[in-house]
Amino acid sequence: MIGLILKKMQIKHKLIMINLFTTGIALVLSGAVLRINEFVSSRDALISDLTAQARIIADNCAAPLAFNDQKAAAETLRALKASPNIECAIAYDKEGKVFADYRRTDIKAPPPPAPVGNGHSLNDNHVQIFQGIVLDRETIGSVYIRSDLKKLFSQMIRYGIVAAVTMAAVFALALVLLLKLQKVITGPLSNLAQTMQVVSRDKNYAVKADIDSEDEIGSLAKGFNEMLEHIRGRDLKLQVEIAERKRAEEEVRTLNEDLEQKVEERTMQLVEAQEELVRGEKLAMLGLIAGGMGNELRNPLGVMSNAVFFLKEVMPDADETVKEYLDIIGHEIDNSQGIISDLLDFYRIKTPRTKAVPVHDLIQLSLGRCTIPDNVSVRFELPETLPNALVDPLQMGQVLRNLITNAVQAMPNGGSLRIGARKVSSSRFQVSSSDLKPETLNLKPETDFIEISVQDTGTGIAAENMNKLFQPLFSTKSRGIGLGLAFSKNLTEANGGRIEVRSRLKEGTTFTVVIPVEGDGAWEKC
Amino acid sequence: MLPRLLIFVVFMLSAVFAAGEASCAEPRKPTEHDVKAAFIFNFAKFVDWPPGKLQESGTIMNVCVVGDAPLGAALEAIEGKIAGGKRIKIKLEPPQQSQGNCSILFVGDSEKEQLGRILETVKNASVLTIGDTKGFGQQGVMINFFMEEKRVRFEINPKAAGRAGLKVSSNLLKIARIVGAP
Repeated sequence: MIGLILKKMQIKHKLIMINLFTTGIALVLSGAVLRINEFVSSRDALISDLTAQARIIADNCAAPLAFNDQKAAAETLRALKASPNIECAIAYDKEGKVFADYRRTDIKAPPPPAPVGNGHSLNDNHVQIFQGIVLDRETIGSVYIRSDLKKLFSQMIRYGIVAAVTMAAVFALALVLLLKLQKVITGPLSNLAQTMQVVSRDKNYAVKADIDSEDEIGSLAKGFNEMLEHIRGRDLKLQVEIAERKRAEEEVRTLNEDLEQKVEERTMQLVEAQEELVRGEKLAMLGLIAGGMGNELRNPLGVMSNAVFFLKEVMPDADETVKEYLDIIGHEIDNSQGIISDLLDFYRIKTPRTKAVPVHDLIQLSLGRCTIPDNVSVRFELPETLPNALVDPLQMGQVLRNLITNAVQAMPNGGSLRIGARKVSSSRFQVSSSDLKPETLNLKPETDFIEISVQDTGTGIAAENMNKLFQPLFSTKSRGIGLGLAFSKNLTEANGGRIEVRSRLKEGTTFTVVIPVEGDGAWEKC
Repeated sequence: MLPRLLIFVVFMLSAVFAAGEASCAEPRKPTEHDVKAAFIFNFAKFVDWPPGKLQESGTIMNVCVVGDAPLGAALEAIEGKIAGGKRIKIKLEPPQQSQGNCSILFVGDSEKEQLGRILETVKNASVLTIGDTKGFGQQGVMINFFMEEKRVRFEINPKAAGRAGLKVSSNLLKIARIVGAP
């Protein structure tokens, strides 16, 4: 119970309790010992006083007893009247008979029988003294004195009251002192407790407990501070570690993503390479067949062309219908020869003989060799000055011719053909997807190029056809074997350029050719 | 020795009380002489003799009786008893003899005429003089018995005792009648 109450108490109150308890016990014990000691010594003093009185009485009774003078004896005993505590005093003779007696007025009891020997006896309310009357070494009687203990008791009561008052005063003083002095111990403790609360509530490990003593509480506070320091240090370390770990994870993630991307890229490149390979093989096979066939067909076509020319020459008067059919035959033979030469050209690209060519000349030359229908208007967007292009004029001319022809054919119902050219600077050349090893290209920062664009307002190209556009043998035209664009692409790339397409269905298509500039020397294939 | 002494004392005291209160169941009632004899014995205990006198007499205390045979007979009861460390010896002396070697000298009523001469002989000898005759106290006897209400009492002449170099206990003086004779 007391333990429970103590557990719930504040240290302050505990200290006060314990101290008061200890002080109280000490006071009570010392008080009790003092009182007992006082009682014993008072009693002893009383007894020795009475004994001394008894001796004097006995001495003074010797003569009356020896000379049988009871009156004198009684008178001697009456002297005890001066001590109000003495109840009775009796002198006995040798035989134990009462010789003389004195009784206090309130005492009526008969005298007790004569005691033997010297001494005293003590009971609850009385002390009795026995003293022999000796005359010349001979006991001739005895004196008996009985005293009450009222004096002793009243003295004890007085002492007790004084002791109680003193004790209460000391106790109160102790309480006052304790209330003041307990702060010496509880002050630092409650400081420490408050600091701990701050730490646990705010998770603030930067606070410090005040150390204002060098005792156990001081070392407790010191230890607490050191612990806080440790925790703070460890926190910081942990935070650093966590940040590092996060960064490492981030790195790993980035690396993974990069890896995935690379894998994807490589896969795509592989797929493309494979496609390219397949296409290459297909082309090689086709080339062989076409080459053979082209050569075989050239001769009969040449013969047929000559025959048509001859017929026209020999029959100048033939009727119009014949003439018309002869023209048709001749035209178709030309077409066939064109196709065959395309085919042969495609599979036998000659090494480009590059030289500086004015871009205007290149465009005009190409356009001049194309038939532009009346319903197609041609617009040029050419700056006054343009650097010369460094290309094979024949090959690039053919490329442009192809593009213009395509554009015209894309506008069967007429439209607008726009041909533009401009100088562009590029720090990084966009390599074509067909190039398997872009890293083998020597790239120089900030290189100039000529960009020639051919724009029509024709039917446009469907999205699904966009990536097949430059593949050989792909054609949407009713007449065509699908080599034109593939050929153009090959030629452009052979001249160190590239070809791009932008198209919107029903709005038109723009083909752009980017070719190197004279004197730049940027494009040298390794 | 001691038991005998004790019996003797008891006997003596009973004699005293018998005289005082007559309550004793003793077959023989103590006579006036018995009481006086006991008193004389007790006087020895209350009186101090000068040292020289005691050395002179050795271990014996001579109690001399002049002229009173009945008391002399009663005094035999205290013969041999010890008082103040000395054994009491009773001597019945003829009146003419010098009593210088006595410690206590009882002068009987019969020697009334001779008292001056007797006192003269012991003047320088530190002798406790005791009498039993009216007027002896005034005449220079140190202790003198008298009867009062049928009890034996005594008077003391302290000056006479002082002159003889004897010291009488104040306790004894307290219960005696003091006489201031020359």
